[in-house]
Amino acid sequence: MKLEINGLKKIFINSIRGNLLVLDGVNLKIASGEFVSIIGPSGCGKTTLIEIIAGLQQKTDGEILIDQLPIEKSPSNCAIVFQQYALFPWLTVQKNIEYGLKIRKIDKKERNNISRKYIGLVGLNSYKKYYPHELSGGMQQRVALARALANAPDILLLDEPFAALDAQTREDCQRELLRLWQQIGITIVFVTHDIGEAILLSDRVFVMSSNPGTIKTVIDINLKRPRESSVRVEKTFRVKEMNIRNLLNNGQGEVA
Amino acid sequence: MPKQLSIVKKIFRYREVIQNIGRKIILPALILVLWYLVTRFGNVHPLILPSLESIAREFISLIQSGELPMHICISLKRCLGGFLLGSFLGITSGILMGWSRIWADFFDLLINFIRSIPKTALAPLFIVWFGLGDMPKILLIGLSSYFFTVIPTIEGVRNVDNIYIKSARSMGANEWQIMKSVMFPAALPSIFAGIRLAVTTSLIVLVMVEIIAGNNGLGYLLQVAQENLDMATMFATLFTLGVLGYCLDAGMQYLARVVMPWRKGKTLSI
Ligand SMILES: Nc1ncnc2c1ncn2[C@@H]1O[C@H](COP(=O)(O)OP(=O)(O)O)[C@@H](O)[C@H]1O
Ligand SMILES: [Mg+2]
Repeated sequence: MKLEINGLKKIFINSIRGNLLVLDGVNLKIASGEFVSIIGPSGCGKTTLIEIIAGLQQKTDGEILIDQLPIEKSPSNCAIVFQQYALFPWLTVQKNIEYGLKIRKIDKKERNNISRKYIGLVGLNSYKKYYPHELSGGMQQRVALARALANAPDILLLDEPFAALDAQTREDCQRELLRLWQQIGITIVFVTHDIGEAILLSDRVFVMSSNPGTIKTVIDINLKRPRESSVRVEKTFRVKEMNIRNLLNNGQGEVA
Repeated sequence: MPKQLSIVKKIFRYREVIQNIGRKIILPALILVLWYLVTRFGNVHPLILPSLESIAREFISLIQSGELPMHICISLKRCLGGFLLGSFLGITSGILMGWSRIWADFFDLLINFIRSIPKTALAPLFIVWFGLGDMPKILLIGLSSYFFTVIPTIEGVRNVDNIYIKSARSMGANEWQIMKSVMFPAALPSIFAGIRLAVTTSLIVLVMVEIIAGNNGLGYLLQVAQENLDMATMFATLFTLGVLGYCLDAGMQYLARVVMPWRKGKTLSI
């Protein structure tokens, strides 16, 4: 699905501390099936932006179009994966993955089929009866990914999904995400503060600046796919990395 | 080899269980022995402390005559009736108030005012209003159970992590679905803390009302025993109440484990 955002603005109304202009004039165009990352300093409004796209927060102004249609009217849907996994602790892995299907009143047999497919896709077959707290962070995030995908979204939004994982697990998850993206062919918007991660995964990287949050630059990552972690040592990769780091450092604030 | 290992583990586990039970039994057993020695060899009047044999004899005859089972049934009916009524209303209205500030504000003063009155102090009023039958007892127990469940439910619902609500909403859940499938299960641990308090207190309120206004039930049995200075019946009834209270609490803890299997291994204490 083609996602287009024009002149998006978000103000948090607060009568005591004063209103806060968090996003102003955010424009971006994302092609169908594209993998893009949004990178920016902490507090620049990445989460706000992605939650507005997901329909979890109200925008103040601007438009969000999916295939030229305003997102509220569009038949397509977005799924979101949060940094804190946000799995329901009272549901097993399988029930977690089936949650959205149950909400949409899909019958049990169909639900089972779909959840089996996605549990298999993230390689957690033998864990379907486990509760989230019985799984490691990496496994929980895989379940969160499967749960999002089970709703057959047209656009998958991920908000710093691997930030809480250790380096090794993060690399496994990145590889897995790329594999799933290539297999399923959906549009992915990936928020991160990890420059290497953004380059490794994306077709394009949107660099944000803060106060108010806006898209500063768009960087094309024309590294050929499929990518292995070995691309990290290639010259093009390192040049892009330096490039983005400079962009972020020239803006206000640090990359957190 | 692994199989043998697991057998070894089982034996160790078995011994552990025995040890645990053993440790728990020591103190009550000591008290019983002391009781026996004091009533047997000490110079204690049976009106102060009856012998264990006389209590046991009385207990058995009370059971055989069908008197005790009848009083137990009557008391249990009132206790469970009031508890179920009160906690059902407490949990449902608590969810509503936890979810909507407007409802919470609407009921806030009333609830906190009535909550501050000791439930036992309302007994005389309820007896005047509803007479000496089951009604005032069930209502008083209901009232006390209501307050013990409504507050933890409100708190539980209010403290539900926003991320779960966002997560459910992002998958298309509406408000009602969120209430049912997120707020309620997320608040369950807190609700069960309230339920345990409610069930224990139900028994307290029950006995108190039966003592001051009963013509049957365990509280009535105690009151009659007091009038007749029938210490064996008194202690037999107290023992029954202790067992009952213990079973009710254990039952609630068991229910908590069944209803919240995901809490296995986490503490369920209040
Ligand atoms: N619900 C809210 N009310 C008021 N201010 C908020 C709210 N959510 C976020 N903010 C503010 O908006 C800014 C952007 O936050 P966020 O989108 O979380 O940034 P990021 O995800 O890029 O770190 C921050 O200054 C934050 O304090
Ligand atoms: Mg964020």
